[in-house]
Amino acid sequence: MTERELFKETFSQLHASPATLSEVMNMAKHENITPIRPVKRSAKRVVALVAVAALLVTGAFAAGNAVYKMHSEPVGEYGLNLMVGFEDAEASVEPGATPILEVTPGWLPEGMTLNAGETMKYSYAETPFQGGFSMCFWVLDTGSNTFRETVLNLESRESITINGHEAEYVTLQSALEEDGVRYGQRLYIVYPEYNQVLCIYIGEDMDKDTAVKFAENLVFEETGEYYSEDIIDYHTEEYAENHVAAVPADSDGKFEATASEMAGLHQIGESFEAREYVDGKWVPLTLKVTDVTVSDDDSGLSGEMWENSDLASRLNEDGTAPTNIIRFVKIGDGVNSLDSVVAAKEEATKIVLATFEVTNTTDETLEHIHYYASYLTLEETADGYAIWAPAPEEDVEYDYVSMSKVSGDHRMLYESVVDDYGNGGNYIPSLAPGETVCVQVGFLVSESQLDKLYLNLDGEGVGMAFSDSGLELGYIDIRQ
Amino acid sequence: MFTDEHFTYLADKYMDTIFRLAFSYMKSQADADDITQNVLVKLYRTNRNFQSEAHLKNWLIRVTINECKQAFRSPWRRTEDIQEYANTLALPTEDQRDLFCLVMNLPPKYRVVLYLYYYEDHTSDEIAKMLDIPAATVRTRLARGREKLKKLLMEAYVL
Repeated sequence: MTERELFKETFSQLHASPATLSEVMNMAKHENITPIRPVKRSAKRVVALVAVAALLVTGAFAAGNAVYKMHSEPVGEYGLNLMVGFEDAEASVEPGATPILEVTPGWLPEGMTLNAGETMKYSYAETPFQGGFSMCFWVLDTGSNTFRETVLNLESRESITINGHEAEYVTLQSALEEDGVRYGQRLYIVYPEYNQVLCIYIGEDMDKDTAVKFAENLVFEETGEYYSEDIIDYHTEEYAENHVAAVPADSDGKFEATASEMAGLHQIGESFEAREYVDGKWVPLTLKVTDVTVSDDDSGLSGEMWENSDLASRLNEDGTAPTNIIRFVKIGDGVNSLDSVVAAKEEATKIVLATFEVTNTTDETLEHIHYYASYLTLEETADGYAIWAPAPEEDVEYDYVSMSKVSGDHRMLYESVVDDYGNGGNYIPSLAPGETVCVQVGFLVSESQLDKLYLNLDGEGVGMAFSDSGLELGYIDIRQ
Repeated sequence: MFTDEHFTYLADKYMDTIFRLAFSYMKSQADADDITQNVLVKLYRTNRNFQSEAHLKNWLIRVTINECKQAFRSPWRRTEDIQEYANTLALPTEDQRDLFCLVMNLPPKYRVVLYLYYYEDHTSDEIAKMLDIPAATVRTRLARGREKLKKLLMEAYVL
């Protein structure tokens, strides 16, 4: 049994309580959710809070009789150890005297909002969950009373103050162009009055001045709860003991499938049975891929769905398919080495449009039928198929491949049928018994992928590895 | 918002995923149940658009991790005797009982990454996005987690 199989067999025995669903429905139907944990505040902690408040009045950055100090030291070529601790090594903070805070922004850049379902994370509406600001607290009230973090991939650093609090602004370097907006800057601010360090991760869509203004206007509110003695390890990295970490030897997913696992493979023009979850139940449907076209530009594509698609936005201004830069990357440890591009090549991209029919084979009208398409790139092996990935022309060691234009997860970037049903709109509005609808989906693929394309219509969207549902439904051979 | 039917289907499908991740973090059935409930209520009430179930699952995992982080800081955390809890699970072999106990006795930063990697089949890049940490850190934690685990398991001749 492999490690992964053992893990799966073991953890599959863990199950939520049977009453969970009914309790959730009860909770969800009520305006206010019952707090799960009681909020208590002991007299001792109230006294501790008053003591800290009194110190604040004096303006001293101190806890008890000790004074916090932030200092830093370089480690390796690209690392920086940031430390916050007491000047007096014997000093300590009473465990349990550190308040749990709620922090809200007193000022936000225009168009920025709190991420849905998250706390302390803000991003622009156009780039939700990417960039902007993400905050966390590190607590200084247990153990050695020091905060230490090794900042990796350091590009620059600057000691500043935020409303009189010691702070360190750092920028990080990256050799790579990445999808989305990365967090290339950080701001560490020491709040001695709360025994905490606030770390703000700053997206590259933000500049330093905006980040400082955001930090200066943060509003802190005590929740009335306190951290217990047993809190998270705030020594966030342990690079001192071992700088270079090996990448796990085994793969990140199922990258090979036997011929028997791939027995359900379909061809263009072949009808096959599928099922979709529609309005609370599984229903049988028939799918058939009828046509696959490859083009160099957007001729013949128009309409609102196309113009608003991710695929259209990835094309050159004149509507032609862009050049894809394939980079082969060696991962650095961030202390003595950075991630580096050890080889790269350019390839033309192509627009691939796949058309498939969905037929309602039941005797009732179906509504809001979900669909989702992705593609796999496969090569045949002696006993089946394997996930194919481009290789460098040079003989170099690398850890992963990055592509500049092609979707990293091989997902569909355009779909022709939409239903205003929420959740992305990739639904078929309605299908009468026996009725068939044609759906067109689009991908941007690199030229070398064309003769290795297999379509996945299982609705789960896994495109970089084999999946159980994809193998069960059967992939569709759309090689060009 | 989802229809009740659609929500029930999704809740039923992902309830154990949320619970397992929450348990990996919290090491407590009661806390993991609370977190599962909170996450599902958030799912019920969300107006987010999900392009696919893979997208939805990633969102659920991210919300679960956030809930765990919040709960982990609470002074009112409950703890479980893992050995005792393992005995209540239908683990068929001694090896699996050992593995479960050893994983749960690793520091949370290792066991959560190991769980997402081995059980949920996420790549290190995907885990990095979910946990909001660099991919290199995920690989470090995976490597160290495996190293620690292997060292412990070697003694029991499991791996």
